[in-house]
This record gives sequence, C-alpha cells and structure tokens, in this order.
Amino acid sequence: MSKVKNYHTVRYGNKDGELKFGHIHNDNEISAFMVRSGSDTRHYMTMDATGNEGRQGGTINRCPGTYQIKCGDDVTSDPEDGIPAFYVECVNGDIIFSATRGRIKFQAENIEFIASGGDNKNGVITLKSNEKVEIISKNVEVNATSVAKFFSSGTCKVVGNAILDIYGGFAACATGASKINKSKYPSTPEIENNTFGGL
Amino acid sequence: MQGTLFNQENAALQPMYFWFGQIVDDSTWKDNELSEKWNDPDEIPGWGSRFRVRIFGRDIGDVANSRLDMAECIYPVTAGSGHAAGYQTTNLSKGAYVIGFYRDGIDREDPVILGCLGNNDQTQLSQTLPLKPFEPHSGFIGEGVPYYSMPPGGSPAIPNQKPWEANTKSATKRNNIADQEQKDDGQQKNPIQSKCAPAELSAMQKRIKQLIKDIEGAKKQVKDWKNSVLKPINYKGKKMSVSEYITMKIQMASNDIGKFFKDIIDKTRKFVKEKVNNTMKDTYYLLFPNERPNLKKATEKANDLLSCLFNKIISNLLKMVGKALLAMANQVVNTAECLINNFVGGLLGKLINLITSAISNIIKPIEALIGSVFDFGSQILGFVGQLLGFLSCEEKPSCGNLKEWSIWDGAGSNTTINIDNLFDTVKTFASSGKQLINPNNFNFDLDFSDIFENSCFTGPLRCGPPNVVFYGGQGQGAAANAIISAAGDILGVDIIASGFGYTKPPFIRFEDSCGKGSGSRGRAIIGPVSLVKNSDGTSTYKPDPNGTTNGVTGVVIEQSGTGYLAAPNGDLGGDGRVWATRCQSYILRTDRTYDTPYDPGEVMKINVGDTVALAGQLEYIATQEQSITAPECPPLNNQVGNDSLAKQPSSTTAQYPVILYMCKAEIPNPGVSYETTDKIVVSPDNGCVLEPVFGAFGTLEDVKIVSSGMGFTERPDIYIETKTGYNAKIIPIFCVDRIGDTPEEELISTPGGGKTTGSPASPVGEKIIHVVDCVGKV
Repeated sequence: MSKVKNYHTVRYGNKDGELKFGHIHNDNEISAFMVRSGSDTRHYMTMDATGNEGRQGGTINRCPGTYQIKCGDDVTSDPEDGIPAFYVECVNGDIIFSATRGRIKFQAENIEFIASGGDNKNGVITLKSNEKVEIISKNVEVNATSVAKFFSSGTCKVVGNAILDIYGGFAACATGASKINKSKYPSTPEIENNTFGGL
Repeated sequence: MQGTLFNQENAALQPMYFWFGQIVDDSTWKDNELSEKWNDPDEIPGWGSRFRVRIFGRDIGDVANSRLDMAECIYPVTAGSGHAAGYQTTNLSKGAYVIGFYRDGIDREDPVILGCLGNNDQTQLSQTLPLKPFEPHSGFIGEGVPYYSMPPGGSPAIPNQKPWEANTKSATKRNNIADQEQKDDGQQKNPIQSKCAPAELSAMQKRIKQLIKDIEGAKKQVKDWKNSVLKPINYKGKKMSVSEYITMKIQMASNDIGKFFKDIIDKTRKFVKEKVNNTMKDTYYLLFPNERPNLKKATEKANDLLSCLFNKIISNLLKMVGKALLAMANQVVNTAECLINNFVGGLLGKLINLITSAISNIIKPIEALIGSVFDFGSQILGFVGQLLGFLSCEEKPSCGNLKEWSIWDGAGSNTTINIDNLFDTVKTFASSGKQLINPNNFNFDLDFSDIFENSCFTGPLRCGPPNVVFYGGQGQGAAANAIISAAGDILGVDIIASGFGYTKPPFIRFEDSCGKGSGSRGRAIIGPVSLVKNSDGTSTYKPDPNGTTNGVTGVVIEQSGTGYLAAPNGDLGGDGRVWATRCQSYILRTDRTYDTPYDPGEVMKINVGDTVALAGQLEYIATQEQSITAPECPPLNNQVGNDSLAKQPSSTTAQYPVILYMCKAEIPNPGVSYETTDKIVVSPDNGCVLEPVFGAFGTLEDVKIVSSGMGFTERPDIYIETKTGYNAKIIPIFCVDRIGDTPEEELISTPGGGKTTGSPASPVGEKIIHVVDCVGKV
C-alpha cells in the first residue's frame, strides 16, 4: 500500500489561494476538500477523509489570525422562544476550549452552566484556578441540597458590613485555642469521629 | 455589421482560422481591467477580460508588445456568461501559451482565446522577462509566490530552485513548503489539562520540545533556504535577531511552564503556613501567660514574612524558569524523560533549598521564644514528594485520559515520568549546599548551570522503526514491535507482552522519533490472557482462552502508512524530527552544546576537546584546534559513525527474523451487490487463498482463510473480482512466526508455501522480515 494514491485530484486557484479536492497531505492522509491561503501556510480549511480518531471525517479550520463567527441578527431575542443563534452539538465527546495565553470570556444577558450526570460521579461543575476565583454580583447565593463547605488553609473571612447573620440548627465554633482546650460541648464531627474530650 | 471587425461573411461561410500564441508581459494589458474597487463601469478602461497576445507566424519579433492585438476569451458553458450572476473569471497570466480563432476570419485582426496549453513540471521557465519572442517564462515575474508553489526546503538547500508552475494532475501532488509547514504545524501537540492532576509533567515535556524546535529553526535560518523564506527573522511584522527571537520564545515557554511550578509553590506555601500555625497553636498554652503575647506577635510576623517570601518566589518564577530553560536550550536535541527529571527536579530542589533556608531565618524568633528548633526542611521535602507522587497516581475515570491533542494527529500517548527518580533529583538539589537569600528583602538569584550535569542523554537519537505505544483502555503492560516492510509501511505488530487489566481496547500509536513515517492507523484487539513463565524466569501476560484478565491479543492495521524505517538509516533526530541527515556532520562542544549540523562542504571550526562526528565516520574527540570541511555524503551502507553519541535504536540494535502469514481478514465495509461466484484476489498472494461469504443483498459477511500463505513482506492488495458488486473492503491481519519459535526446516517443508497448502513461491530467506526489537529500549 505504502503511499496513498489519488489519480484524480482536482485543483482550482491562483497565487492568492487554492482549493483542492482529494489533496494528499505530507503525512499521507487525504482531504476530501481543502482550501488554503498562498501567503500563510497556517491558513487553511480541510475536510479530511482519512486519519486517526478525530482526523478521519473531521474538519480542520486553522488560521493564524482571529477566527470569527457572527450570526443571529434575525433570530428572535425573546428568551421564551429559546431559538439558538449559534448551536453546537457534539453527539459524543468533550468540548475543549483552550486559550493557553489568553482568557476565555463568556458574555451574555444571562449565563447558565448546567451539568447533568446520571450517577454520583457525574454532574459536577469544577472551577479550578491557581490564583483567585472571583464572584462579583449584587446578590450571591450558594444553595446546596446536601453540604456547603468553605475552606481556607490561610485566612477565612466572612464580613457583613451592615449585618452579619449566621444561623444554624446546631452550631459549633472553635478557635485555635480549642486544639488544647476543647469546646465545652462536642460538635457533630467530633461525636461522629469520637474525638471529643479536649487534651 | 459590415465595416466593423466582425466579418459576417467570413464567420458564416468560411472555415475558422485558428492561431497559436503567447500572452505577453502584462504591463501592456493588465490595466485593461480595474484592479481596485470601483462603482461606475465608465471607470473601466477596457472591455471584458482581454489579453495581449503574440501570435506565432503573424507577430514577428520586432513588433512591440504594446502594438499587439488584445484577445477576448471564450468561456466554457460551466463558467457562465455573467448573466443572472452566473460567472467565473479567466485565470490566465503572462507567459501562458494560448490557442484561439480569428473572429474576423481570414482578415486575422480579431483574435479570440479558446483555451490554453498547460505547463508541465519539466518546462523550464525563465524568471526574467524574455528578450526574444515566444520564450517560455514565469507568470510570477514581479509577483509574490505562494507557499504551495515553492519547492520544499530542507538541508542541504537545493540552489536555484524555481517556483512550481505546472497545471498537470501530478502538480497537485508535488511536495511544497506549504504542505511541509502544514504538517509541522498540524502535528504540534497542545497539552490538555485536567482538574484531577495539579499539573502535567508531560505537558511540560511537550512545551520544552516545541521550544527546542523553535530555537533550532531560528538557528537554521541563516543556512536553510526554506526557513529563510518562511521564517525570516521577522516575527509578526517585527524584525528581530536570532538571539532576540530565542529570548522571546524562551519567555513564552517560561510563561507556560511556570504555571506548573506556581502550583507546587502555592501548595508548599499552604503547607508551610499550616505547619507554622499548627505548631504555634500546640505551643501557645504551654507558655507562661506573660510570654503568650510575644509568641502571638512573632507568629503574626512570621506569617507576614512567609507571605512575602512566597510572593517573591512566585514573582521571580518566570525569570527563574527562563534562566533554567536558557541553560538547557543549546544542549538538547532530544527531550528525554531524564531531561524533564533534571529540569523539574533541579528547579524544585533548588527552590526547596531556598525556601528552607529562608524559613529557618523567619522562625528564628519563634524558636528563641519556645526554646526548641524546628526542622521544616525535611517536612517540606516530604510534602513535595507527596505532591509529586500524586502526579503518578491513576486519575479518576471521570477526569478523562486525554493529555494532549494535535489537530492532525489527534490524541497523543501519555508520557510517563518516573516519580521516584524525579523525587531523588529533588532531594539531591534540595540538600546540595545552602542557597543564599537576602533576609531583608528576600532577593535571590539561583544558578541552574549544574542541573544538567549528569548522565542524562539529550543528544540525537538514531532514526529507526517506530515504537508501538498502547495507552488507555484502563489496562497496562502491553508492548509490541512494529513490523515494517521494505517499502516503509507497517505490516503488523509482533506482540511481545499482552499486558493486563484492559476493560476496553487501548489506543495504539506508532511513534516515530524522527517523524519520517506517517499515516498509519491501528486498532488493538483485546482478549483473555494469563501470566506465563518465560524460559529466562520472567513472566509475561500472553493470550489464553481461560485467562481471567484481558490483554492485547492482536492489532488490526487499518492504514499501513508510509515512510517508516525498517532499520536505522544513519539519520539522527528525536522528538519527531530529523535533526541531522546521514549526510551531515556535527560537533558537540565541551560545554555540552551542539552546533547546528554541517552540510557537506561547510567549514567546521573545531576546538580542543570537542566531540566531532563526521558523516559516515566514527566520532572522535579533537586534540587540536583546526578547521575542516564537512565531508561528502557517505553511501547508505556505510553508516559506521556516531554510534557512541547517538542512542537506540543503533545499527547494532537487536533484530530478530519473523515470517508473516495471514491469520484473519477484517471487513470494514461489506459492500453490496456481489454474486456468490465472485472471488477474492490477493496480490501478491504468497500462497494465501481467501473465500468470501456473501449475505443478503450481496454484502460480504465473512472471509474464510482457506490457506494463510506465508512470507508476506509487503501489504497485499485484496479485492473482490466482480461484475456487479462494489465497495467491499478487506484488511489483512498478519500473524507472526518468530524464527526460532518455528524452525526454518519446518517452514521449508510446509507444503504449499503456506501454512496449509500450495508450493513454496520463493526461498525462505526472501520471506523473512527482520524486526528491530524496540521494546523497553527506547
């Protein structure tokens, strides 16, 4: 078999750009269709007929500049209708947005992230950052049906400039001092872990 | 119409008068049409698309171009006429040879272009405007040349290469710079991060690989024609020197790689603060009440200073990483695992050393109050060890296995780093002498020149057969050697170990360290395996119908690819590219940096102590300063040189002979409309006979192996001889007989040249393929 053959590659183009049907790439894969720029090798689009997972049957849009999509001028803006202006459906597989040296920005009237899993492992939304996660809003609500936790290995501050209300069916508080002198009454974890008893 | 150029009588009654000519220099006709945006047709100086042509036999040499006739064009019906917005444009340039007829017949004053003759690749085109009429010349004169019309670069550069200008079918397949660059760019791997792992060592390895390639490309610009055209020292419109370009690339890489260290330092900050504060809590009530306020104050100050220390380290991080990268850049051809080990281990070790030294200063006042000394150094080291250990843990399934992605090759295999080795390196550097830090402002300057001073080989590898890499599938331990034909395609794999624990077929990659081969695709088949004791006392998982776990029992080669090396050919490289061809020579300097390889005929300035590897010769250590000319390219069978510098697979790598036979046939597409009398053709058959089994609507349901044949050395074409059916596709799966496992005598005496029937088609020696044993060696 060795080198892929195609006796009937069709090409149209000039010095500015070309399009080809049946182009053989240098890695021995075939594009059913390819269009590319003559002035920048990183500017092309292919519909690939062969290749590894992701390549065969895949489409590559590569550009060194900004990749832009503008659409939806005539789509109804009534949220009740819910007509999408930009619809992407991945039947299987992940969606990966990567901006190694940039930021990812979603801006909209309202933003929803919904994760739905069918078991106890899935249905997770993770925000992971190695500097700071900021939530800035008029109202911030965190609702948990089971447990809500805030941890800090350094300082943990809760400030209510006007009013600070802390409610609890059962409340347990402890300071560093209680590492030596435990609280007079046990907290639920202490009862569960049988660690009540001070020194 | 009489009195005009159109002669009705001629057109109606006379035969057509054809002409043949050439479109002349466009300075005399291109402004017939407007090249800018326009609004009013009156702005257009001429009529339609017209070209000035010099016609053979009519326009002899002394007629100036400007006095030649302008010719209109006839369009094919598929191009449209412009009516109802249906049109295509002409696509002719100066130099084109055109043919047409005279609209005015015998008067021969109104030529019309009917078509053009295409250039072929053998046509020699002048790159300057011709002095004589009708001389073949380029259409690019005075124009920009697109990358897909540029001949491929590489080293040595081919002098005086002219742009491609042909319109043949073969021209669509000619190699060019655009194709080469698209491949290089498309195969770049982008690390995919995971929430489960704090950072990716393999991602860092990929980033360093890319940096090394960028730097190499920049250095080659001065001598490599392709690079000088494609990557002038002009980045994003900004002119820069090679050293400026390298600095910029190192800064970019530092940014990417710094994130990894920031994660570790952040976690170390958390650990240290927790440790200090917990210790203070433990101690607070053990002190006399009058001493407690002092401890509180000292603890607060220590906390502030710790914050300052870690902030300072993080703010200096990029500079430090950049410095370490710079120390490494010129010494590395191949980013081996040990390089990452040294880089990460060295940098982390030195940082821990620094942190420990700073902390001991910070907590001195507390120690004075308490009256005891803390050992944070070993605790921090232990903590970092735990952190690194976490990197080696299997990830949770919900985190996914994807570690990298390239737009051409898709998922990459996962690089595994030996965490124990890495931690040993961290410990070595963490304990090697105290790093100095200014206790007043925490300013520091680390020296990374020593972190690559060990036996880690990062020089060029010998190019050879691809490694077979299995990954994913939840299992581990599968290993195999690729079986390569003389034509450079992958025929199959010889499974050395099936591995165990696979719950689904793993992905398979054929990783070519020099990037020579490409286009292969394989699919692993899993089945029950069990642990079998080998003659040397070791144990390996091998197929066993009664096995209780699953391993890799076979591989289907869906695409055999091309360009793979069956054995080393003398080229050197690594990280997916050829660094030096077998024709090039190179020098390893005493400071462990490599010169850009020298082409034959280039002058090599050698210093005492340099290791010199001349093409096709054994390398030596120079004992005197001299200048020599790099030798000519040695013949292919004279690859004795460079063995001690370049590593596996070397020319002496173990090879073992195998014989292939067809043991199964896969049907990726059953096709349709076949008749029961249709037959399967195998070419060359090597004694193999296949029988089709057709189902409803003439689809190919199964392929029976009547005779498995023997001694396949190339992938056969397999198709169905038919008058009615179409599209069935059959893929051969070869099984392997290792010679020694199956005695040669037995193979010779096997009737039929096949495993079952027929007569031997060729001597056994011609049926043998030698497989390079790469398992566990690269």
